[in-house]
Amino acid sequence: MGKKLLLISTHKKDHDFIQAMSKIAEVDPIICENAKAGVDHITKGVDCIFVDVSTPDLYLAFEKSIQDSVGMFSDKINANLVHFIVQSDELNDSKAIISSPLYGNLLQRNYEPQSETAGLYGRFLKRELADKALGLENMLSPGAKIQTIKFTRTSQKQDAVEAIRNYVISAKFKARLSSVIANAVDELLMNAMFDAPVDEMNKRIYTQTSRNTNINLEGKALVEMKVGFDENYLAVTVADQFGSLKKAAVVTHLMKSYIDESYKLKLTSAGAGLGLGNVFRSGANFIFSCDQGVRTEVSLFFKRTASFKDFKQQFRFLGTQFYF
Amino acid sequence: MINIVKEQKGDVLVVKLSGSIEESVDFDKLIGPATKEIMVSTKAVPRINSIGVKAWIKYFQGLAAKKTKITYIECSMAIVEQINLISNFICGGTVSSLYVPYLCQNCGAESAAPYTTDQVKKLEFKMPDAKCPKCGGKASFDDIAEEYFYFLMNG
Repeated sequence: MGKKLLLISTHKKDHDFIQAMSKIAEVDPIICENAKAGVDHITKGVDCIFVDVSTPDLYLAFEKSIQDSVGMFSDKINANLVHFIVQSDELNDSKAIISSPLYGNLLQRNYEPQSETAGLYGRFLKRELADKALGLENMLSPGAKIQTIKFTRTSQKQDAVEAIRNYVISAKFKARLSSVIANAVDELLMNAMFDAPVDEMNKRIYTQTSRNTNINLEGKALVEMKVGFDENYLAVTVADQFGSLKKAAVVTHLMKSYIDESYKLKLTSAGAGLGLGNVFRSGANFIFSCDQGVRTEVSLFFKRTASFKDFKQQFRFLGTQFYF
Repeated sequence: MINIVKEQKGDVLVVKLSGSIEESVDFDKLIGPATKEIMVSTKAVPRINSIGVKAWIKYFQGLAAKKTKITYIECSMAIVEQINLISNFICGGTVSSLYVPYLCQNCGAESAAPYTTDQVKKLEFKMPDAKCPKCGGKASFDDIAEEYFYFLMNG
């Protein structure tokens, strides 16, 4: 018997997407139209949950049904396997939803072209259900070439960023998008090199260190980057060996708006989460995977689009996978 | 790596920045101390990372504190994105002109057209089609107006 996917939604678009994606992920979909009916299945046991939370009422109905049945912190609910569906333009403004203890993953309801989006998300789900969602190898279409780059000094970052920029231009990404991708890779590498390292007391080592400093990254500090392209999506994963990423920090950094509140300069050398937030708002798709104390991988997915406008209007998702 | 060309025109220091703004940038060394008025062109800045943003805000906040009049001209798309994302990115200065992204409907070439902010407002953010500099075909505005002109619509 296959693994079970529960979808709680009345939207036909969600039904169609889940049907297509389930084939890729090799799961059996169960479709319910309301949270109350869905919870009956959760009580019996499902492997992953997709739920329409595109209005506050839908989210509250789901949360209440969980509270009234298995409870918010039940072992029947693993946030890594919960996927919230929001409207097509709401990902950047989903602070309340991703602050929920039930939050694990978020996807936008703009699934076109469905063959591509169901493929990408289906591979993500399949990897997530198989084991810890680490590694880029199974995330792209079969046959995609993946290159691995290992960094032994922080000074290697800039050359790598420029190399990625040139690579994506040669892969016929638009020049403006190539700058967005280069900046995103820059921020991920900087985080892995300077923010991830912690001491035995879990205290960040380089908080006060200038990001221009040339640091040795050999041994545990080694940073690894994988880059793959399957003609539709460019994927970049940056990994560190500390596993020090905190889910609450991810949520805070990604959802902080510097339009509502001025950016305040701090004495630390870091960008105070500004980098991740900017990458997210630029339109990137993220998966944060963290095996606590062992390894963190941050993966980005960029669709090759005919225009920058298309890039901004593409299907988007934000995944977080934390293992303790 | 950032490069700079400086030109003093009367009381106004005109600064043209080119290249990526990242952790190696030192605006104090590159541009120097406060003057009465500064005009900053970022036409050739394709990207700015978070450490570059921090350095930018630190430097221009310092100028603003010393009453320097700051005008941003020929803002690149990367800089426009930061202006839209960070409310105090312009540090009390004024954005006078910017580059607007275009995409040719015929050959797919990207281009950027200069506009003053007054022109954009006068057009009510409905950017007219332009001639592709590569093939002469029709080029259209390639972004979402509500996002690209957010700071002008809401400023």
